[in-house]
Amino acid sequence: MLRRYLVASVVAFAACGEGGASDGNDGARIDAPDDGVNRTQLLTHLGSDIFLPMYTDFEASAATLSTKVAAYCTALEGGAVGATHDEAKAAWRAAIDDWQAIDAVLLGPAAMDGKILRDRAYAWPLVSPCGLNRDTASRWADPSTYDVTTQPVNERSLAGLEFLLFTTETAHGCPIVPPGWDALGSNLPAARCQHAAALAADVATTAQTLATAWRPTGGDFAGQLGRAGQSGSMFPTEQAALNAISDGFFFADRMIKDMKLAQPAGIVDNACATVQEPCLREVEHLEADHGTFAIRINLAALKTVFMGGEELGFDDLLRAAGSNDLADRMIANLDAAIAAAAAIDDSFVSALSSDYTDVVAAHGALRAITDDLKTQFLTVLALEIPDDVATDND
Amino acid sequence: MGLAHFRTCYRPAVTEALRARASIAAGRPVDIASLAVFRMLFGLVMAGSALRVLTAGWIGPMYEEPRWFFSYPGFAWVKPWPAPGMYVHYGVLLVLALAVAAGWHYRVALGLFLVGFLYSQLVDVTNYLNHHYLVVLLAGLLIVLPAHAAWSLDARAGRVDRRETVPAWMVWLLRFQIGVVYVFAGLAKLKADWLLHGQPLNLWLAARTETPIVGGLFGDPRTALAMSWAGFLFDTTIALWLSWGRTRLVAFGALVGFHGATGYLFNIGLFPVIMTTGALIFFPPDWPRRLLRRAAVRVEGAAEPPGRAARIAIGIYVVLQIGLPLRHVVYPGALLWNEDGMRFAWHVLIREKHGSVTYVAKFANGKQLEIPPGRWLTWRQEREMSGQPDLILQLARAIDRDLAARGFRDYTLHAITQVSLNGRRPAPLIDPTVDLRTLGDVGARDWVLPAPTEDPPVVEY
Repeated sequence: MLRRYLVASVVAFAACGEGGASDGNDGARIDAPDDGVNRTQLLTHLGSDIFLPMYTDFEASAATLSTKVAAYCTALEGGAVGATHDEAKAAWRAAIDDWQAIDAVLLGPAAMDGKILRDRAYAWPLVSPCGLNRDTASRWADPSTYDVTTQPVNERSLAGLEFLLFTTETAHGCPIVPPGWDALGSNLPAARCQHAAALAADVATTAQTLATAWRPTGGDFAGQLGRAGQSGSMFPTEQAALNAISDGFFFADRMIKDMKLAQPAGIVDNACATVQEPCLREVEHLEADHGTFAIRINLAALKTVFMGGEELGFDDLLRAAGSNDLADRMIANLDAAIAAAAAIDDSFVSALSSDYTDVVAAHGALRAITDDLKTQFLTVLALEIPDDVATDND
Repeated sequence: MGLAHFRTCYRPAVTEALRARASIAAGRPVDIASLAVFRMLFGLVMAGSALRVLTAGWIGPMYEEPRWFFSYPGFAWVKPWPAPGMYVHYGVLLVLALAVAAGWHYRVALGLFLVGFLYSQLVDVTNYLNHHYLVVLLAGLLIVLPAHAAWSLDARAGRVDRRETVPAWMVWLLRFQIGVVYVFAGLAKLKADWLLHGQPLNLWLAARTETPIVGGLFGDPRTALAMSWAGFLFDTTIALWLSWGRTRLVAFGALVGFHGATGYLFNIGLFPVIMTTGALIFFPPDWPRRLLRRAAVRVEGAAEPPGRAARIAIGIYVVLQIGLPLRHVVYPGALLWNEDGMRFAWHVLIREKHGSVTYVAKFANGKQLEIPPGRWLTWRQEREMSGQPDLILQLARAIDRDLAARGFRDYTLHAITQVSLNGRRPAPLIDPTVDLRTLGDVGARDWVLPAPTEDPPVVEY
């Protein structure tokens, strides 16, 4: 849950503040001795204690979201919405928070096959308001013709749900009027809710699929991680398993640093062609204005996986390899980035206009992390960059 | 008798006698069998290589997914075929390689293979591998040698005059080429990181401690140091041991073990296979007949020393093959850091290097725009570029053209870089104050900062 990651990061950050960057977390953590790390233990711990709970949390929150959206639709039909809309929105926030922790270090079934399952759960930046409005109208006209499983990912997922639950826009946003749109009239909220219910059920199914794939009673991906290098594991070596996890760390580079911070802030090229000026079209969670929380959770989860929570993590691997300074620096940089994200206004949209320097500072803090990730972290642990197709090397 | 007298009266005679003896030796007929087998194995290995590319899912990442490609000077016009053209391309290469192995329309097949293989390499500099360069050289040599004059479909069909022998220089040329790879790969290891610190082998082995039986040793840095020295000594001397009859068999056994081990431990693809099959050329030219217990051929006949044109061509080739790998000696700075003279020089697997690069356009109005390489490159391309200054500059020029085309004016373009070499703390590779737009292709590369002077770390588990 969100609280777990925030508490972990706050504890780590507080310890850092007391002890300084170089020895910040030693007091709070039960780490392996510097002279060795049992990689099997590390992988088992990460799989069973860190990753698996993330997926079961998401499974639960996605199921709750589906229930809450259905309740909202029922209330709409009865003409007494009451608090059901707010409850549905809150359930969406809970679900997306759980997903943001997973997305921060994507591993396993969600990261495979072109990330199909990832996109079904949360496809951002792929989201099509026009497509969602078109589906809303066609589904309202004839629900039997709509099958969510055949829809493109930019018309599904938590990103599509965000639009349907939060938008107040009544224009369709398409080049041509979608069939049935004009007939919706005052039924638009009900139609959007019905469509959201279908999407929420689809997300809940995906969440269940993912959690099952990780559970020992299902695909046992957590177990496969722990048994890396042994028969029955998809990882031929422990190094390959570590590499798969480290691939996920690079979400911090192209997604958090570049897409979530730099593009909206005009630090890098964006859809608005602005330079050092905001571009709202690039903001994640624009409808819910939840972007700051997403960044905070991403960073907290990144740190949790990197440090293995309070047990074995990649920092211990670095220490065992004799790179205490790198481990200390990376933890300090993670803490700095978490602190920088905490300083951004809760409303990312507001932050872009009134709190711009904090957004820029967070971007700079992220770069310190990704510079180490792309360089010494890879060389010391002999890891490869993500999406590397393992072509030859000489 | 003075030295001057010797120079005047005897040296020309001695030189002439040596030249005559060398010419006779070079032209001496030897069994064609080893050359024919070299052709077959080369073709089969190349067919396997093409099949690998087709089936390993590499076409997409190498040719279809990149939005932009790094080009060799003068070859920016070489672009990959539109999808699925590269699949067809490698399919054709596979067929051509099999034709080479079978000796079916050999020279046409090998010529087309060479052009097609070169094309696949020229598309993107980040595809460069030392063994790809070796393939180009070997194909270039084989195309001028009559390796299809025996044990080939061409010979059987009468498309080429069947031969039992070839002049010895043809076999020597291939031995020279294989020997050059080993010797310069060995000399490339003559560096403090390799010989004093056991890096980068220490980093690589420490990540492979789960290797069956011997993995426990890999966490000990002394293992890496011992293997570094073994690799250095092996590479620098193996051609010598292979050339000497008394040590040849043992040397070849060691070679098979060496390449087997490196092929198992490291992701170097077909390099071990190419070198192992290539090293067979050091055996007596009739080794295939002996192996197959076939009757030896009569190697008598008139000597066929290389003609004047061939001698000149061979001379140029030899000078180039020795000069290119040594060119870095005259370049300033540390080779592993600035990569000046790294390609076409057999610097095989001697560094672990990763970098982070961000381009920054600084405008006259005080604003600045960052350009992450990820906007232009795949992860694989970014990895290759990040440690190579010439590629960093090449992308800078493309970014500059793009910015200018989009109407940006009055700016300078800089690269913010951090590079870790053999596990060292990251250090800037490119001077961030230099406007990359002002740099030319020639002249001192003073925009590349000096290499870190600290020792690399040593990993111990």
